[in-house]
Amino acid sequence: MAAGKSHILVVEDNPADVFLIRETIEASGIKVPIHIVKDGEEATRFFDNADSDDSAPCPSLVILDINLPKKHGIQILQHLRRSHRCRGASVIVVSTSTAAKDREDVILNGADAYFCKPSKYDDFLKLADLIREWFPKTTK
Amino acid sequence: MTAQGLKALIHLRNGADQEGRDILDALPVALYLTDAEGRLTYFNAAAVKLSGRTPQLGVDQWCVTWKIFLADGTPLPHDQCPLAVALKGGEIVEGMECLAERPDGTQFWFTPYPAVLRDEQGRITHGINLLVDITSRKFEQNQAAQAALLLSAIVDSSDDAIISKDLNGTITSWNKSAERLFGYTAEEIIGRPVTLLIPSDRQQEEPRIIARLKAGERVDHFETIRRRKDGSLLDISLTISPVRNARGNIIGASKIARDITERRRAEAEILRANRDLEQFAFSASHDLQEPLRGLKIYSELLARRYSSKLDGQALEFLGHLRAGATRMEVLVSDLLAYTQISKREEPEMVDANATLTIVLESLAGSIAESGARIDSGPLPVVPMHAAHLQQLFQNLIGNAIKYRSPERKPEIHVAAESQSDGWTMAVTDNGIGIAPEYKEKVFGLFKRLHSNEEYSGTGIGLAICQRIVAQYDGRIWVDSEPGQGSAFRFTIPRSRDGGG
Repeated sequence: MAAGKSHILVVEDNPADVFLIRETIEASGIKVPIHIVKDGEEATRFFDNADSDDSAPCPSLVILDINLPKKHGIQILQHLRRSHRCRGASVIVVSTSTAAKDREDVILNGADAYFCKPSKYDDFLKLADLIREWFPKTTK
Repeated sequence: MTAQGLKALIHLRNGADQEGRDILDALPVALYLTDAEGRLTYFNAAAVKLSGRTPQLGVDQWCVTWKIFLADGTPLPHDQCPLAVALKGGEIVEGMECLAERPDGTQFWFTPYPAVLRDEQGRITHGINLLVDITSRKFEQNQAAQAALLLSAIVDSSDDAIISKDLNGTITSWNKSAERLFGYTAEEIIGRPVTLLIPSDRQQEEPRIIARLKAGERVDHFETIRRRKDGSLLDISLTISPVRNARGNIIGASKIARDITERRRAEAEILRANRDLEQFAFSASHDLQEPLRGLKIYSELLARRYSSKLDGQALEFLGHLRAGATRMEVLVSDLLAYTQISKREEPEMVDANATLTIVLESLAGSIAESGARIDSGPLPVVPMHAAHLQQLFQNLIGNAIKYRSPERKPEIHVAAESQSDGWTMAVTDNGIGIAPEYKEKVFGLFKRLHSNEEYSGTGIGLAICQRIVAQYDGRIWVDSEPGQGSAFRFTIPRSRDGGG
């Protein structure tokens, strides 16, 4: 495949969280390129682009914030699952919500894991365990 | 009175026998006789008693009474009294109601029954008059008339519409407020069916109301919707009572209708305002969590990674920053918990003993640290959500430990008392107590009596307790002796279906 190199796509509008997610990916020990998109439209464009251009990058793992400008995380999730090239990517949703209903909603819409953003640094680093768990083994 | 009867009377009077006169005197009705010119020839004892005077035979003319008036109060000269009219060949007036005055000034009502006696040639020879005392009947009539007048004045001045109808649902009376409320005048509506006032989708209410009335039942404060003459609808509260006739049979109903449009509107307004406020508090506390998390985590990272590069004062500032962020986090999460208390589903039956055990386990750390002794009496099974009862115990026992006296170890007692309509539960401590002026205030949101240095907290705990108890139509209060301890008590009513 032209875009053979696997990578992680981070969909997150808050730079403070982007920084923390970068640190957790680093802490996970997985060394692949990281693409960052900052809103919902940018995210869906990213998948559309991958579908129309085989040389465009296609993520192995998506770390997706749920409250995003322009498009809600659920819509992005649905869009991703319809993309013929990117539909197989693992998805970890990160959100501030502790409500069980929000967790159910994202799992029902095709997310693989749900991570509630904590307010302590060490707790945030636990996201690294999920990244290791869901990053596709074969492409490692 | 027949001619025969009169003749018999005159015969009695003329009879030499004492017995005949005694009979007339013993008659309980005032009676007197006159000659053709109206001069008195006889009167009985009852006539003296009624008129209050002893007439002079052959002198007094036309009547035994002293002064006579017509019912409207105009004086009636003796020579125009009904017997005088009859003796003068005029018509015999029967059933007239007259007022008379005695020489002592007292008055009485009477009805004269005059008659004349004629000879074979048809000439009038005698007059006779019976005066029937109707004073007490007139008094009663007067009373009744006054009462009726008063009643109709009350009905007319009422702010509520007062309507009556018969058992066919035909309107039989209609007061001023009914005119104002429904827009129909009494003339327009009396005699028409009451269903005219009922919107088409509520017509089935009338037969049900009639059925209840026929069974002798009253319909109390039935809140419904009625239609005005102009077609607009109004919210009203109806109280309908059966009306019985003198024999006790139900012949119709009286209906009191109160306009509750304004009250309904105000209630809806309050409900909406409360929902808005709850929504606002929820959104605010929810959305505040996000930036707060960033603040907390980055002040932590700053402390972890750059402490060696910061001088003493910068470190102190950073400490304040972190403490502020932590405190705000607790506030926001407590506020969020406060807004999320609502009894959306039917409560379950929860064993308060088991709930208390769970709470004591979760408080084990602070219990051990403070050396608190906690005991409890037997607790009931109550209709509540377990999480709510847990939160109540957690906050009340948590407070009892937190606000302990510096002089002694906390001793906390949890007890319940069964009442006819529910339970009163109490958490009693030997802590610092609460001054009387703060007994109400402590339940207010963000109300704190102490600085954060003395006792940490957000001032939401007791507000949460109050909100929970209110969800179950219970109440919470505190009895306290400052310096001695406090007893927080709350009631949980039995569920309406009689469970528990």
